[in-house]
Amino acid sequence: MDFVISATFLSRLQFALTTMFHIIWPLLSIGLSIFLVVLEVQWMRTKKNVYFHHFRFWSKIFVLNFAVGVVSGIPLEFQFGTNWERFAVGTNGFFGTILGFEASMAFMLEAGFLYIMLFGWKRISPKVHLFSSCMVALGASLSAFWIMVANSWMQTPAGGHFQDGKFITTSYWQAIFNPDLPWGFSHMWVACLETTVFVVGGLSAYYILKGRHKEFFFRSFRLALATAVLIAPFQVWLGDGSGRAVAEFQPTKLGAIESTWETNPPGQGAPWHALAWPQTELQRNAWSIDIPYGLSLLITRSLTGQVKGLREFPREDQPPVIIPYFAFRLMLAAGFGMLFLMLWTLWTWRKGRLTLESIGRQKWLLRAWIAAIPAAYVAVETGWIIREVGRQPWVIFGHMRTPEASSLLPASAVASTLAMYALIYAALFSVFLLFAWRIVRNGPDLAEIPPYYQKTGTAKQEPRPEPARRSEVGS
Amino acid sequence: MSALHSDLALVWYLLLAFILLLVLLLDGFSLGVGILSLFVGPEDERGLMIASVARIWHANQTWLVVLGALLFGAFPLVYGLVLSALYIPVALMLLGFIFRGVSLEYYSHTDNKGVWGLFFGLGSLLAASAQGFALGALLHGLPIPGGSFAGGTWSWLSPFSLLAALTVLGAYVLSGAAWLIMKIQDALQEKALRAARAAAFFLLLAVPGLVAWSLGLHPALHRNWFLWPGLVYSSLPLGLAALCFAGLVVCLAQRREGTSFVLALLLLLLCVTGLAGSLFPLVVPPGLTVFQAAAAEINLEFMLWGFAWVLPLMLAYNAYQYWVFRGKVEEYY
Repeated sequence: MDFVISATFLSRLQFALTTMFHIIWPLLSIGLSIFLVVLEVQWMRTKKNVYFHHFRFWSKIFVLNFAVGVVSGIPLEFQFGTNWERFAVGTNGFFGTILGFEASMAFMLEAGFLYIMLFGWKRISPKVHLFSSCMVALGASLSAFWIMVANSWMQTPAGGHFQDGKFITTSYWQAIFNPDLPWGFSHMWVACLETTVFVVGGLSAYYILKGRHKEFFFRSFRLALATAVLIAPFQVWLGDGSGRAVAEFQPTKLGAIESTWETNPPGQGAPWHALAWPQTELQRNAWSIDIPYGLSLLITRSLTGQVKGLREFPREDQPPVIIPYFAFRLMLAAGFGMLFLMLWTLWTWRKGRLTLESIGRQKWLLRAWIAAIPAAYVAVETGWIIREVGRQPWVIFGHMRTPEASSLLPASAVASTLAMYALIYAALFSVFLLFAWRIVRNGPDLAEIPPYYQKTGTAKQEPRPEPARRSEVGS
Repeated sequence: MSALHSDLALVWYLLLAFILLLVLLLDGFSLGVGILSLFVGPEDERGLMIASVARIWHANQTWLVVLGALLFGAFPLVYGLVLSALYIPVALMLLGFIFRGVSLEYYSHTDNKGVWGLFFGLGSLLAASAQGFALGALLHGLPIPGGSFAGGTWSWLSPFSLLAALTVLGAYVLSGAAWLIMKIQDALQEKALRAARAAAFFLLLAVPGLVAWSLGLHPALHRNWFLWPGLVYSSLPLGLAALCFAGLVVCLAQRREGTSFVLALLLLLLCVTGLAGSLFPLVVPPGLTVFQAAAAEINLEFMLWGFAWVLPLMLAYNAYQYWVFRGKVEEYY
């Protein structure tokens, strides 16, 4: 039995490592693919070359990021079979069906149009090009949808029951639209947009700070700010909603996130432990800094609403507490940090200090935008740590425990692949940073001649070159 | 098992076999180009070879992702069993894919083309060999007394799986070379012609060898070889493959670029069909059949509804992608 446990532990480590590495890349793939569509539409509408040059610049980062995302994503799918055989068999086709939809409806769509979008310029018409960009964006977001269906079903399994360790689906509709899906998907999808907004804004801030291509990047900076105004508060609202859904469907996870041990007695409010030191063995906090009634208010919207503590549940059903608890504080810090940065920037703009001439003097503001790039990633990583560690000790919440899900492999085999992934991912990450730095250092190529809507000089009117260019199509 | 359930299992078996063929044919030739790139001299030749697959390799590889996920849905037992039993070769294949994919994408960004080009070739070679060993181990048979794998971590490594790996490498090199003949001109095309011919003759020896060896291993297969109606889906495809081989040799000699490529793919298609046909209804020899491994009826049915309309679309835009990037490769990558 010992060897099974340790192989399971190593498989868990490996899954944690490979997913935490992988999730870095889809964030930008999803967000930037939408950003590229926006740029292309703007270019079509205004015929201004600057949008084409923006498209080209961001698509370079997009493809660099995409390549790592693809190669690190494939091992995830295969791990369900290699390391989690009993999970694969126990889900009895449901989980695989969802992954099958993801691969065939979403991933292939993205793959099939990606290179047409990136390199097909001179071989297709502008409309077909725009269509390709839209398909890449649609594929990326659809991919997120199906993956979140699969993951949220593990959080709040619905649409069937377990019989002899196997899931018997009775309603696909209910299984797909399980209670966690609306919150899980929207929170994640918006996280992709938010990360992208702060990467675009942060890189633009970097160029503005360095005084390079200031006008060019001021445009993308403003676009990022405008989007952040919409997204950053929305994401906080979604996070709040997710929290209340967790309280309803995964009370043990909420207990771990907030390090709540005792259920508040009727008539008394549950405090929010802003900072605490959880002692799992003693089932209490060593100390805590509390905000009275805070948790009751957050979860139930009333001062004395009941919030269940971890002691209500048997020890063997409780998740680890320390990791989700502190990961949650980090996520909050990063999320609210981005929100405050948005408000700060908005305030600066209201004061009239955010013009092309004056923005260069807002050095600390620009630096904060650069610092927001890693913050956005930290928010997503910690969010996933909360989500997955908080689900423990279950792999399928309430039905299949994690040690019952793994393959019966020798620990040495898992240890060697774990080492392999650790090494190769460290190398991939370094190489990505190196090449990304090179793209940033070289900057946009403003001399590049657009394939469509060319205009010479700065003349306002644009004779549409459509008929003349048609002959090139398909050549 | 109800009649509907076994019909659905059969439909999914055929669909997955079709997608497996796409993986072996399409990603196969991309990997083949990668393997061949190890054997060219100057870097600009390698650049051309990489350029010939740079726009389409990703969608080709995605068929493998589609295959894996659908297999997970339709035959979860096969998915879990085969992948965990073949833990090491699968990990090596994924490692190969990482190297192949990243070096292909980063090749155009780097000044150090030699190193990244080498990674591209080695990654392709690793992924292809690992697939070959995995296929060999599967054909050799995975013992599953009591529903879980009874072999060891290294039992995939055997003389039989070595022959299978060499055969797969030969097949990929053949299709890769045939692709290059179609996409590239001049001196490099000559090299590709020689490689294609060598690979074809190697397969002429290797495939019958592999078939004879597996017949010796599994008496259960004899039924599909020597008795009606089994011989229709094993002997017939392999008989046609022999005809294809003859056609291919002639076309290579006459330098019919497009026809050679089609014949090379057809040859591989027939070999794989014959191999799968000779196993049917087994999916994992020696004992696991299509019907035992199938997911619940509702899963198979729902997944079919979801997938049936999407497959024609996938095929259409994949074909469109080839159409957009048709013609000889001129630019270096």
